[in-house]
Amino acid sequence: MRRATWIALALAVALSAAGVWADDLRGANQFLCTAVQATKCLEGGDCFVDLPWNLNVPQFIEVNLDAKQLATTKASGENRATPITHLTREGGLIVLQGFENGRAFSFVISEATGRLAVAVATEGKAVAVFGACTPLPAAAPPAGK
Amino acid sequence: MTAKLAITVVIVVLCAGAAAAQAPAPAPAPAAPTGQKTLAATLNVYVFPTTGQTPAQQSTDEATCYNWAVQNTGTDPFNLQKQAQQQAQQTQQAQEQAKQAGQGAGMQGAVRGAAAGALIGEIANDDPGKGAAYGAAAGAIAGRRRGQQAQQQATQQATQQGQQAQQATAEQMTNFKKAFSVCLEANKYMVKY
Repeated sequence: MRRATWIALALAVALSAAGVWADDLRGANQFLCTAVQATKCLEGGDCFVDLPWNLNVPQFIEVNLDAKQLATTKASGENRATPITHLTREGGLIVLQGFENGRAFSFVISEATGRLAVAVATEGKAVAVFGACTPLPAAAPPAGK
Repeated sequence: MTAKLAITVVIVVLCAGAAAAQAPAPAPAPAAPTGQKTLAATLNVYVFPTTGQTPAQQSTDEATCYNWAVQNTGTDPFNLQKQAQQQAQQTQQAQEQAKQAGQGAGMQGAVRGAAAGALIGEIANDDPGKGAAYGAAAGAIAGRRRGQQAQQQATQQATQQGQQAQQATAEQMTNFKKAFSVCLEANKYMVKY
């Protein structure tokens, strides 16, 4: 309970510092996304709404469009990463797609609002995740320049 | 004169013996306990001399029957005790090894997880470890679970082997006691075990 409170507080501070809950991503190539809700559907038609981390969706995902990589944060200690094989930035949407361990995935992120929708499909089941993204601060220039 | 006296004594003794053999035999008193365990007693076999055999005679008979039973069953109870102790040690060692192997699997899992944590590839993998951290942590959990399963199987196997060995030892011991008893009964002892 205490951990969850700290996580929620940290998230609130981080996102409020950025200005709004979901953010303007125009021009940003690195951003931090958080999953808010997840739904798992089975081929029989049953769907279950669950907390993202109960479906092994990391709480925070760093999206690096330059490196074409999705990764967990260093602070999480999870050390997970997935390459992005297809990237499209069109019509105010950022679309990321890829495939890993039998799972095809699509991320659709609104550049204007930072709203995130993810679909992960694998044999016999699919997971839909909704969340929000905010730009990550650009790396500080080397000292002395 | 001395020779005549000796012959007379011999005749008297033999006559007394013949008379004793013809008369109904009184129930012999059991040999007084000497405080030392007999061979049979060490095997938890109770032996009663029905024809008044002396403790020395009983000891000799027990030794003879022990050897006879060893030859006929191929089992020596004293070796069996050693074997049973060794088996118990081996079972314990196997269980400890299984335990260590289980712990090792957890460590290996952690290393694997740290090296190859998939982000999307692990989503909805039906892992029962809900809310668990992934990457290294997930690897450790999966490794521990595999390790625990392997440990349980190995421990179970070691325990089963130990039980089977104990059962086999018990059967061998029972067979030996049967043979030992048959031999003693043939030598006019009442035997219970």
